Amino acid sequence: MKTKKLLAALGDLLDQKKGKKLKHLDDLKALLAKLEKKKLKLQEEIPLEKDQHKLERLRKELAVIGAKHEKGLKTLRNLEQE
Amino acid sequence: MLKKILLPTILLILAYGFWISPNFKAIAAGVAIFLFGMLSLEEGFRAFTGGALDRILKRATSSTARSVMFGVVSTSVMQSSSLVSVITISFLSAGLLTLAAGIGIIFGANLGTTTGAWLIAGFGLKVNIAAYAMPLLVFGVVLIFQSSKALKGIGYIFAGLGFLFLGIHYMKEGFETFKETINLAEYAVAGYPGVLLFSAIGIFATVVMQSSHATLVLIITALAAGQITYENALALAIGANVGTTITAILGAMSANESGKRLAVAHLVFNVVTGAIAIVFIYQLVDIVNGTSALVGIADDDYTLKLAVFHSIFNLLGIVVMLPLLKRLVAWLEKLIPEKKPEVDQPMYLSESSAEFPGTAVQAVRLETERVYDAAVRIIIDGLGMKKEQVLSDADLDQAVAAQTRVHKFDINAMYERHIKGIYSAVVAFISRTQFSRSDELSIDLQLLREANTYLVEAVKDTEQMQENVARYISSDNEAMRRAYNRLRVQVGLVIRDLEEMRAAGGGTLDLSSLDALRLVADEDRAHNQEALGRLIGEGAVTPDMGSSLINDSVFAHHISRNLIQAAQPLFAAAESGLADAVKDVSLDERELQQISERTGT
Repeated sequence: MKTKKLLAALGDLLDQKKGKKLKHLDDLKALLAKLEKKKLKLQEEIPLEKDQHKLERLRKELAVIGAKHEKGLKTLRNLEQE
Repeated sequence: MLKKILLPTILLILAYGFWISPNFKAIAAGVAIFLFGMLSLEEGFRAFTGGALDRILKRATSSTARSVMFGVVSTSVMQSSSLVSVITISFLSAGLLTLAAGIGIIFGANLGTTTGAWLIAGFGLKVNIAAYAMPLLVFGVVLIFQSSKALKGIGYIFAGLGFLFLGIHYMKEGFETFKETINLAEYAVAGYPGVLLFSAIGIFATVVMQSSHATLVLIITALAAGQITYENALALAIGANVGTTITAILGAMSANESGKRLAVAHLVFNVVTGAIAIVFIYQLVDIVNGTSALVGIADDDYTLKLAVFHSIFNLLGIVVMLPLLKRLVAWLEKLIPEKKPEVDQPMYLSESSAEFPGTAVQAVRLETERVYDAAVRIIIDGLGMKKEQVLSDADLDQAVAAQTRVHKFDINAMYERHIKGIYSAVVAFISRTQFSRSDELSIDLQLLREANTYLVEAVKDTEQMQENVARYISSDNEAMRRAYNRLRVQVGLVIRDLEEMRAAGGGTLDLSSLDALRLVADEDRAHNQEALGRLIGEGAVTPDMGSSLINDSVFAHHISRNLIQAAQPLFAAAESGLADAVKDVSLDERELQQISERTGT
């Protein structure tokens, strides 16, 4: 079993195209996790912000991050299905 | 003139040597193959410079001791103090290292280079080295033909090592058979005259071959064949150590002031070390004998003892010079001061910083930050604001309303003085770099060039607004005063937000903050247009005033957008490695527009 796993990992390493795809998936998941974390942080910050300009910017940022997160999830699903 | 004579002279001497002695041919060919191997090794290691090297350098040079260790390790691995010197000068020129850290690396590199003598004396001469060279060459050449940059790099390293070993083999054989024709040991000179003479020969040989490694290999193989005496070999090694500084001096000619200081430091270190070694050579020989006995080196193994001598006198140099490092830095900064030009010139762009993609990008980024700072100063002053108010938490509405006068100045003259010189140099520098178009760092360079263009446009737009701002912020027409103050505040807030982002350190997530800022700027423009429509409809402003306000609203919006666009590669660069993922989630204009409609106030 271990040998099989090792050979599969070696195969992935040598198969550069597949390796690139796996890296792409991993990177996308890492980025989505960061976006999720930022979203939560903004949701905590917004109710506490008094400055109108900053508040407006934070709301827009939350919306942007939400949209990026959604887009990223769609892309992730497509990549996983390929 | 000297350069023109030197090359043909060397070629003539070589040709004459080949004609009169086939053994000389073998030795010279051995040196040539060895040097080619070093070039190949350098080429191989260059493939791995870039993001990884930047990160390693930053961590490895956080203290003097670490810098020295980095110099030792990197030179031992790469077997080229020249390459380490060139990398250090590049990074220093690009502002990635302090001078003290750079000098520490050079000190360490001098010690690291002595591992070459150990390898040759301990391994190269004792085995059939050509047997190892052949497979390395074959594997190396096969890998060089691969498309992957990493495999190519490894290929060059293997081939480099193969050529190195082959070169040593030919030099060994050459000296063995040379002995039968001429015994150079008959020309040995004893005592201090010999030390001085052979040190000078060592300097000359290293300057000509541009490689202390090549000189050392020649010395060791000649010593092993009994062609030179042990004492003369030690003097040659001292000379090789001093002569190697020529590479650093040549490399620094195209560097900025920092690079030149480092080259002088290198020269000072090696000359001081060489002088100490010459004065105390006989005492050092005693220390070498003692150390060799301790580690089990035979009394008559002169090649290994030469390696011990080489390491000891370089270590002695570090021991002597390291406590003087701060004084050396102060002296160098006094000797080679920063030039203060009338017109701001680039500080980080040089041939040295152009050597590697990583240093080129960092150099351009630092220059672009200087252009950004100059542009922001001009914009703030041009719109009649105060820097300390914009870049603080002060209520900008109130602060701006209180500023009813604009200090009029020639924005174009300020642009010519503080921006144009650097901008032109950045454009020229980027055009000169030879990096492949598919290289990620090459894309960074293009984005930074665009950033400079955005900043210049923002300054030009400020110039367009300046006169009307000066006229209307002190106007009797309250509606115009308010409208222009609103424009100033909008631009001021964008500058403030960008400064916050810059202070926070930047990263992938700040691209979202920039998108949000862009949306806010677009909405501000829409509100301004709406407000203007009402003002004109109500007759609160004259048609002339209205047209001025329309134009200046557009300029203000452009200033904000250009600053935001410029900030992207500067303050919110995507972490290397996540660039593809960032592209996947980035929103286009249509998607941003949809968000704006959903969240519009």
